[in-house]
Amino acid sequence: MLSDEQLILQYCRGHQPAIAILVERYRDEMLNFFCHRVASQPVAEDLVQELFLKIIRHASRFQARARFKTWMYRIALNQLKNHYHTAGREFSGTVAENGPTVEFAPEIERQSDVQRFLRKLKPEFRTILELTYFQDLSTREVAGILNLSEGTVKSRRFYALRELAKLMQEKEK
Amino acid sequence: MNCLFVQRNLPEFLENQLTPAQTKRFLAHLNQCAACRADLVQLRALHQVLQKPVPVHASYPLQLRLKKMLETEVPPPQPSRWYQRPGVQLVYLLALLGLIWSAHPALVDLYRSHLEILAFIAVFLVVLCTALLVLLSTHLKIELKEKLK
Repeated sequence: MLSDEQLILQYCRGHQPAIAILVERYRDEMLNFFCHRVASQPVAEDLVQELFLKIIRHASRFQARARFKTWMYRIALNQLKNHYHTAGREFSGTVAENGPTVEFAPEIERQSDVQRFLRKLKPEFRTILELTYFQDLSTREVAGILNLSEGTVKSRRFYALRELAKLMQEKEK
Repeated sequence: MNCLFVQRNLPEFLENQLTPAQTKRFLAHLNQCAACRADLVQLRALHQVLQKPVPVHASYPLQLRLKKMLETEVPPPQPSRWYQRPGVQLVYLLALLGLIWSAHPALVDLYRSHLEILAFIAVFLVVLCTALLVLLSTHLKIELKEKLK
């Protein structure tokens, strides 16, 4: 199986099907990423389409030494910032305060509590937890996306978890 | 091992991602430090709650939109091959002209002695070798760049 980096390179050389493989590979992952952070699935789907359009149009800007996934998530995070900016809100995840409007399966309903507490965290804490636990990214990948050292990511992750635990305990009381 | 290491690596510990040596030292520290033990208990519970949510899948309309987008978007301009670059082609042309010029009988007649001809050929060969070296290095650089990508 070709790596993401090989595929984007092939696309830059004019091999059109290569980008279709990348889109297929990351479509659902990025949809889930956006779904946790915006008000509804249709908005998240618009953002996914916009993201891949940016990737296609700026494929030649992809740096040889970078990892495709890191590059893609950086574009996605910038896109979210722009999305919130356009909506006149801070990039803090507060847009989805009432939870996604997607029809949820019962399992998702049980997770909505955690989602609600996550939204109360500082944006930098929330982003780290979401990238680590929901997007299954390694500490190195998160560090690459956020342009931080691995040590900083680990520290922030710990403080984020502690803050989240505190919020959840306060609710229980 | 100190509290900072334990705090930073609690998730790795909970997912058994630490090396055996690190785990041994990690546990040794936990035995001594009540604060880190409390953190572990708290974060273990949280770790279980923070599971990946049930995934959402792309709707059919989104799949269609993406398909349409892929059909309409054209790939970025293809970077030219090393031998297609204007500079490289110019060097080729100059080398070819020089070769023709040096071999022309009318020009050879103009030379007064064999020594001058030999000197001319030597200079020409030096120029040609330099041009070839430039070409080769450019080619290798491009190939290396592509491999690194």
